[in-house]
Amino acid sequence: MDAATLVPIPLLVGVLASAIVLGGSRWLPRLAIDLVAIAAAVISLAACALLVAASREHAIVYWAGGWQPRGGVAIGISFYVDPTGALLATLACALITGALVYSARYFEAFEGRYHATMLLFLVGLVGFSLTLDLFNLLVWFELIGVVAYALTGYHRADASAVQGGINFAVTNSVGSFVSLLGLALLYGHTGALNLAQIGAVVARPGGDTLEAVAVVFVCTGLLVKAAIVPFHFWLADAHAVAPTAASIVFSGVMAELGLFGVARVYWSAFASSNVGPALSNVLIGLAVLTVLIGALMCFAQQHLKRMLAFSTISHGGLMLVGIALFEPRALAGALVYMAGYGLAAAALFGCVGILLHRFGSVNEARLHASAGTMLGVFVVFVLAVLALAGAPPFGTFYGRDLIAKSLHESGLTWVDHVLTFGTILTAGAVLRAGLRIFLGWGPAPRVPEPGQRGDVIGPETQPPHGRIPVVLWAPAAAFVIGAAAVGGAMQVWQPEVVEQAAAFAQPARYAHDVLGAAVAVPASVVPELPGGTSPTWLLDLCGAIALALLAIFAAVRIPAVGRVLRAIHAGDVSHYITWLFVGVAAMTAIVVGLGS
Amino acid sequence: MTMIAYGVAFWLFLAGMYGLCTTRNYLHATACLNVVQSATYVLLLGVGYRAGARAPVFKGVPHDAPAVDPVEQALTLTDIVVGAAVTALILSLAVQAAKRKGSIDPREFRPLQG
Repeated sequence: MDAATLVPIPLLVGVLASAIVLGGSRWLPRLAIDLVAIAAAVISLAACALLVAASREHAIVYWAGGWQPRGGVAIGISFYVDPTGALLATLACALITGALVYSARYFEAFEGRYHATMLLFLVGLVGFSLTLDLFNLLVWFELIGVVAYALTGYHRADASAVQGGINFAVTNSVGSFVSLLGLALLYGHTGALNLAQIGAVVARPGGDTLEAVAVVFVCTGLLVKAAIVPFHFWLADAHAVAPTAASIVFSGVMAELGLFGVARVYWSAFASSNVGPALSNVLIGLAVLTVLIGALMCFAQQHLKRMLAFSTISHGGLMLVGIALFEPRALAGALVYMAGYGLAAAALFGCVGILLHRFGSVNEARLHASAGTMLGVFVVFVLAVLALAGAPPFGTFYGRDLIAKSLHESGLTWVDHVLTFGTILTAGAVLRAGLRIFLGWGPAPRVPEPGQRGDVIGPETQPPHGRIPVVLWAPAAAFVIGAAAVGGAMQVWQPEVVEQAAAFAQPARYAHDVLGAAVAVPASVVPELPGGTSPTWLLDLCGAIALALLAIFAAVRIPAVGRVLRAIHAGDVSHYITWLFVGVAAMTAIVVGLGS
Repeated sequence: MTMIAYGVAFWLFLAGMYGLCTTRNYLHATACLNVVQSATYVLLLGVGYRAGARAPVFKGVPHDAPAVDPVEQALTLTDIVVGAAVTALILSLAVQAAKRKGSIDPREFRPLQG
């Protein structure tokens, strides 16, 4: 079987299965609906995994409808499957499978609508990872968005869930509109929607300002999805109110795909233009801000889901640092970090969901010393915190290592210190929560009024009885094992991963593969990998443990800065949009100013 | 002619964004979202327009007659459909908010704090 025929399988299977689930939900029992959905996700997972293997030698180009390029001009919509994109698609399928297993049987699903929504989510995520057409990318982006808005506002009876859904929807929609404006500008400038074609045109001299504005606009929507400061406010709201299974996917792969989109757009379309250095500086600046603000807010949270959301924001900043260096090794590090962190975050959300299922609350103070009997969950929790801190053998260790080395070589060692600070704060915060909840260490903190700060938000599953259901703890355990497996794979395949990242970062390759241009593709220049690994992880881990203990026993808190930050984050949707507008305007001004 | 189109797109975008930044009503926010989206439509169509050209229908017309760009029209139609879906979703969420809280003023909702 030709590998190209595998490409539409995840998309078709997902849509077909969601139709079956929606149409047949009236007659099918819940078990059948769960099984159909899980089966579809597993088939997509297998197809994406096969695509990873099949594209290692040579990327697979799939033209929708068979509309091949004519005379070097691409008219149709192309899917470009290389191991990088296929790996993220596989991650998406794995997380959706886990999320569907997690929500099987006990989660209150209305007539198959939940399952259909999750399957369409899978379709959108896979399509986003595999496409090389800019408008197609934005359409998949919108599909992911709409489905995610629906999932966030799922608990319609809860006013704050609806509010979170609206905040999410309005912010991401405005982001996608700005991206569309960028696309319109790019189309006017280059006459092409295919990213490889855009890259071919952009390589010609001239039009620098327009290209700079266009790339900032296009990246805005993607950065909103990735929850980078100042576009990040919606993520905490959405995670706080969405069903746990949805949060698993949001933190596990949706935010990461936004950053992947930035990398894909830059390397295929803009690497041969002059916008690189200015864009790199701006993105690194935003990433540093994101790491700091995310970490500080994470530490200040009592609401477990919001805490994990801010952790995702902070680590997203770390991944953006890797991508924004525009250098193959850092890119490889960022991609590995995405896989490692995504799985670890999914495991943490799984554990929090188990607490929610059992106790009906996700507030750290309310849950103090409640989960003493759930030591298995505690083990999974601690392993996931280790992954958060970037300890071996988890994938995050290898990713962080590659990014750190690249930073040292670029002379940006101070950024590495910021990343250390962020890691210590986030891992320390989550560890503090775990130690308080599972082991009951430290004095019981003051419990907030009911309904505040994640307290007594109501169970999302049927009332528990006795033991934790298998469908809840098995996915969480599987995710954390997966995070370790990513690390194990890196132990074996690190050189190849860096090579694939170098190939990803090769504009000539896109022109050659997609347009059939007679361009000599230079052998990917893979930088020397200095031997040995830096002991940063030990510092991060010890710092996190120390911080957690200090927070529990010495009541360490963040002073006035924390209050100011919390006030900024306590706005409504109009404030979020104002920040977005200011952010886009500032980014555009700085990139254009630095570039000229 | 196209400068007018670009100017209109720019104005629509700013007006819609101003409305969103100062909104006190979820329905008003949805309408402003549509105004911002209209800016993208106008820009897309403005980019594709050719002065003095005909619609891109070639039945009975020589194939090298000047025509406006049909790709932009396809993009705009796709965006309109997506916009309709997003608007419907946000409106349904706003209806739910009104049911539960009795208000559609964003400030009435307690900030989601943790």
